[in-house]
Amino acid sequence: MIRVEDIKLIENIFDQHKGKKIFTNSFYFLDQFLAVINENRLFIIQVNQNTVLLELKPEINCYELFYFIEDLNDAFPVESNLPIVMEIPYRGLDFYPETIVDYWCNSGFNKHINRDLYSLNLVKYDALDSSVNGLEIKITNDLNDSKVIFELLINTFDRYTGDILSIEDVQESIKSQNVLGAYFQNELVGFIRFYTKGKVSWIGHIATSPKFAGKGIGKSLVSSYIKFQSDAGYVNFQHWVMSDNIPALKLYNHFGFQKINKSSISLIKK
Amino acid sequence: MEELIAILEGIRPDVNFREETELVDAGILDSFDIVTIVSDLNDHFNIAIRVTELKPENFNSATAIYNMCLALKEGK
Repeated sequence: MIRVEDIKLIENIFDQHKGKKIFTNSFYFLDQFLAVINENRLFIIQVNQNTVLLELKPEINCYELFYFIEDLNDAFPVESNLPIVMEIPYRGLDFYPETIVDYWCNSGFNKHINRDLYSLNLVKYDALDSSVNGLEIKITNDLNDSKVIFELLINTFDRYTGDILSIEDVQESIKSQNVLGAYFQNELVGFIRFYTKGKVSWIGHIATSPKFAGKGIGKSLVSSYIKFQSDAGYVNFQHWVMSDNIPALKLYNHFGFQKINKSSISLIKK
Repeated sequence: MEELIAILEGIRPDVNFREETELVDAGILDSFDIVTIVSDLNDHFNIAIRVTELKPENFNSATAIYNMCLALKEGK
């Protein structure tokens, strides 16, 4: 494993595979590559016609793998002292990347999580009726709530692919007024964290305390989130959902979210 | 251009590629979409998009993508 010190090494990878049929999951823009290189977090392994980049992610103590595979007959024995995770994007079930998934499973990786992208375009805003007796949904302003939110995050979402935030990141989200909290008798029992990219509003995380599961809190949170962001002028809403998360799929279906042509499967080697 | 639009609409049928001019800047396409787009463009137009071309401004509109592909075809 060699540390990438210069973007020229990445340029060489692209040149090396120029004109050839390759499998790749490399989805960084140039500035993203440069940022990771400047932070000394990018490493390269080359085996014959195949290349792998490993990005060190110190916040979750693992590597993320980006591959450029030309020769499927040449298995890639990636070893490291940290878990290695990769995401393989694909555009819907008809394009499930079976060949490259099999390749990596034969190289010692295991299938991890399948996710699909869901989208909602609000042509017009209708009042959404999802109230639960005694429940108050409001923008979280109290930084003390960050501990509860952080605990819910780490207990609900996958450590490697769930975009787990640090408690400082949670506090920043609260300061930016990007968290709606669900309060029952003044106790924070659930939250939804959201953000925007350009014209699109995204759900980052949504979670409910287990003792309040099944009581409609998720529906109330999503309802309030859509209203809040609609009032701010957003008409396009998107988020990722685990493919087998049936309760979540039913929840989002209730609001008219539809699966669009974008999925991913993550693989992991521990 | 029509060929390109057809390719892009095949990847993201929910996006209006004929009118959008801030596909990346407005968060409509992200780098996740770029993997598929780059792969399909390389295959279809027999070009090789380099890492130095992987900039948001080259993917912000169908016209920008088209101009990038044209330049690569012409060997620039």
